[in-house]
Amino acid sequence: MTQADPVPTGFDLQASGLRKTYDLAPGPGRPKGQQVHAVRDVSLTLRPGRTTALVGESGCGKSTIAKMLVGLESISGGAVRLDGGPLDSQAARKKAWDAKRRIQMVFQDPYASLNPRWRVSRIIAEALAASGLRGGAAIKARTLEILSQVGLPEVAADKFPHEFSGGQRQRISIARALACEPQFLICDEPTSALDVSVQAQILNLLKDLQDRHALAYLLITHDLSVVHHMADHVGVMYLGMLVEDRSAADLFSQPLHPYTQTLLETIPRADQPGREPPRLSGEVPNPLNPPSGCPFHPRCAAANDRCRAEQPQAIAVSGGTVSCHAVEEGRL
Amino acid sequence: MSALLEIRNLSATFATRRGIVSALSNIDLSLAPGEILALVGESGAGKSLASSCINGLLPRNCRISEGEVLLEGQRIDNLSNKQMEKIRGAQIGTIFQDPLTSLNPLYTVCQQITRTLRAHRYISDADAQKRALELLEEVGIPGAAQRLHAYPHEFSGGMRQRVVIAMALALRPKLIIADEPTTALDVSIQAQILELLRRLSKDHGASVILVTHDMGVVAETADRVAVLYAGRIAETGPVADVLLRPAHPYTQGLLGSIPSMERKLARLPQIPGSMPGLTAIPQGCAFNPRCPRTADVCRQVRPEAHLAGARRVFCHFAEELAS
Repeated sequence: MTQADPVPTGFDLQASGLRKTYDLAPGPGRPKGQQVHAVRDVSLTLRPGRTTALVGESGCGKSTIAKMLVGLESISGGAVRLDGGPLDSQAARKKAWDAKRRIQMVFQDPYASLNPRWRVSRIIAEALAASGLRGGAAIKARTLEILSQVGLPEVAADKFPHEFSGGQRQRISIARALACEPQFLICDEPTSALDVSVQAQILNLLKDLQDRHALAYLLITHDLSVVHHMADHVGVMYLGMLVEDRSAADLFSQPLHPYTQTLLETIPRADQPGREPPRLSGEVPNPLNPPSGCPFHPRCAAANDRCRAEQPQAIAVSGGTVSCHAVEEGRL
Repeated sequence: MSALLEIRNLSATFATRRGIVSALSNIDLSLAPGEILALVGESGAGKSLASSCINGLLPRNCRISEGEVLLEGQRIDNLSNKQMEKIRGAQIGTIFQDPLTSLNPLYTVCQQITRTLRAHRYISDADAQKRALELLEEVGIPGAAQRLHAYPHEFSGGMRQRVVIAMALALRPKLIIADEPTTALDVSIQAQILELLRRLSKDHGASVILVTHDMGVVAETADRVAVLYAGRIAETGPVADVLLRPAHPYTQGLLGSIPSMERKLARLPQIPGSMPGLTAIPQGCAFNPRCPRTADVCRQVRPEAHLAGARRVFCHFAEELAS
């Protein structure tokens, strides 16, 4: 494999103050005009060759962010900038995506994200055609090249998705995303549906591709060990907000937010049998009726009156920011 | 102490369009009272099927072709469906993976629990309701009295799984089969449910068969573990032994491919290839085409169990690898 095109320097995808609000349809017991704030004021930056991860439990808004970045969801507030240019208006976004296809997405479920009636060659050719490649021979040659990049044999091109295992399907999904030669790859739980031994193969593949093409990854997952393995920068989300946003090295060596700390402590560890993990009481609150003040205060051991009343702002700490009154006041 | 459950030389087959295929082959397991045994393996390894052989909920085209299952010394693998219905619920409770689909959305949780109780016992409505309330309190549902008459959709995922556990416990079965009980749940909720399972097993002396693909869950919950590969046991033994000093090359590979929280590797060690389908299980040791240690004997002879301390390892080189 020859070296790919020289890495364009200085490109980045920036989201600042991103918001997503859903209007709920009125129904039995639900008044008119009720809203859910799925994402509240989230900022993040994707850079070439770097992996930014978003972690959090289901319903924290991490997938919504992914969808907003690729344009599958509209943006309720804030801005997305590509190389400093705004992508906010529908027209600007359309232009950027149509012309360049620079942002691609790999979905969680490789069983649902591939058209079962299309052969692999057609699945990839569609993406190639969308990126502007013309001519049957050229498309065929490029398809085979991409398949070999993701570690699939040439014969795979003539098969249907159902003939592949889950891991191989995820490779097809990655091949399709790579077909447009994107600079940004948004991976939404790319290995959650896979077994661990297959997960290792896919994570290795993602790392190889990143090294080769200087791809910028946004990795969305609930699995902290995957984040630890992959990420350079980590955003921990809770109820639509970034509670801790720091470099991976700082976050894993010294987690500051109480939620991050408990998340790290509660993951079951295969290398520590018989351990009795501390547990986090309670559940993620209903986003329809979020708690006042800090969203985490009902489950937090360090919560005081200020936490219950006032929403914490991001404060600068080593390697990033954390939003917690207790950290700010030195109580933790 | 005599075993609560014994599985002797169990094999199961599927009838498919391409003929009879073997799905489980010569499984031997036993479970002491109060013990938590994990069945772990990747998708298609046969771990769920092994648990279905115990509670009799086999798929229609599957049957036990060989061996026996004994619950407290009584064979249960050859019972009729009618007879099994008496055992399921009363002696074997089952917790399924998805708490949303294992509850009926049209009935309140109270109705579902009391129905389970009344299917097996003569009990008045009032007593059954009282018992349902006790069960919900036992599994830690806050405000159980107010939520007794709520419908499943009014509960969160973790709370629904607690309801399912309450139902499985309703008749105080001696054996609980938990098939991926936390796979659909978030980590913080998973920890709560696993702790609940451990506590209930301890309080009631119930044995648990925990089916999971997650080695972390095994480490924190189970006493013993059986690692399955292609419908066969690769290795079985006490959790600490198997997880910290795996003897079978498959267990070693599987544990090695989990991203570590301790150190950061540039690449994860991976097992080449993928698990064979049921129609293409290799001759000899089923793992041999993917095994770094493979030799001629592995391609020809299926390994017997090698004893290594409290462990049984199905590998020709078990002694060498364990040391």
